[in-house]
Amino acid sequence: MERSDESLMQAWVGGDAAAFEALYLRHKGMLFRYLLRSLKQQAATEELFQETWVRVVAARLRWQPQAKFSTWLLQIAHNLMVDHWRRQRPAEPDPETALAALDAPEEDRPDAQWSQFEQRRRLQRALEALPDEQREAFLLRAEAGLGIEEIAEATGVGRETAKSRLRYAMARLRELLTP
Amino acid sequence: MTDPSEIDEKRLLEAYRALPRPEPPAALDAAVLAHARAALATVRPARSRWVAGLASAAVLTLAVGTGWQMRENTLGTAPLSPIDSRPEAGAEAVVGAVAESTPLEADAGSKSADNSAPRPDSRDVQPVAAEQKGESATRQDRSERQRSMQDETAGSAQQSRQPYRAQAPPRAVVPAPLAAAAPEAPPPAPPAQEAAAAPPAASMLRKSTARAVEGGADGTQSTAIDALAKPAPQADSVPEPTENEILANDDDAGSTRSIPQTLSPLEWLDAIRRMRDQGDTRRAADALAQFRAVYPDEPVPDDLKNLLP
Repeated sequence: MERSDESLMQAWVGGDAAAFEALYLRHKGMLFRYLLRSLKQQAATEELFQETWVRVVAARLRWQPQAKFSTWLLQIAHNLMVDHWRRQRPAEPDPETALAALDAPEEDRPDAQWSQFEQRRRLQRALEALPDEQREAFLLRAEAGLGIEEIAEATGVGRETAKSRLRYAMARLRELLTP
Repeated sequence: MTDPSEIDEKRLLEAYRALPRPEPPAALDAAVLAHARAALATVRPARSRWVAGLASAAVLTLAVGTGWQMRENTLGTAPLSPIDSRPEAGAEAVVGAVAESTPLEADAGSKSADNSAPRPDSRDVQPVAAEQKGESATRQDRSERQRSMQDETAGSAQQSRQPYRAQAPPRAVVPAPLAAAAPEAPPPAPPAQEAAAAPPAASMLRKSTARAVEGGADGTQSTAIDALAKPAPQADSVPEPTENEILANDDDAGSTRSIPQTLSPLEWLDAIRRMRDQGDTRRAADALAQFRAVYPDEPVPDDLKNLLP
């Protein structure tokens, strides 16, 4: 039977190094992709990924068993990203992304069946075109499987705000992906 | 019945999961895991942390206590004013304060104690004699101060009486040359009313220098103040110098500074004889002449008549 995140966390706080490795292997991919698709920069993603885990290690004694580990982990990552964005100047939109955000003319859309490759490419561009808050809400839902309440907790906003952001993100993606 | 929006969401999530799934580099994994292991290795048992905290508190308490003791000692020995930092000046300030009855003008008072001490009455001593006597008194003051550093109480008491020394009337009225040649008499006691006024002045100085005295930083200061606080000795209690002391102090004196005016006629004549026996006929003759001037009715012994002119 697979141990829960909370059980592994408690074991690690108690001195079980293997418990942390299990936790890390379980969540590292999700966290890395969440950061990468939010930041869209490999170097910044790696930096914040490592910093997130460093903070997890440092704050392990303050962790409460009642809190869901994945939510806590993503909350730390979210705060680091907010700080990162505040330090960064407003980035110029990537020309390719900007073009992808625009609706392609009808005549340029091949009504023929898209290849899977093309679908993935359009989804990536549509994600990048989303506002940061909406993209983050979608990523927390799609990547980490969080519900509305957990998204609100991880991002530090109210439930209705989180729900609204997620709804707008879905609508925008459908709009962009609809042939 | 399924909501169309839910269907769209499922399709979107499926499409998302079909995207490439990048993973962190292996080096990043190793760095994070190493950091976590290192953090676990540095964790100490709760008991050792408790003991370390208690030990730190004990060390802190000791350090604060020691620092507080050192601070109190420093405050107790720190000089409070320029007067306090100069032992001799502090003693002079005490003397000057008594003379001027102005403790705040301590420095000026110390100068006045040496330079502007009360002059002898012109009816008793002529001005020239007074000036010469003042110089002699200054030299005597210095030697007395040096002795006062060794014998704190006695020396400081003499210093405190310095302003009044010149006011003491001589015990025998002598001519001016003899008065100038006379060795320094022991400091007489101040007048009764000034002696009575000394304790209030001392109490004022005690207030101004109370902290220095309490700290015991300067023995001279405390001695001078103690001397002021004591009742001034009366003139009768001042020990008179013996003849030997007078003669011993007479080594560097001039030829006419041979016999004090305080000796009885017999003692005076004996001193003249000793001068003659030592071969100092000229000084013996001078002293005999002075003797005759002071005691004109006293007969000159036969053995000394050859010294008469």
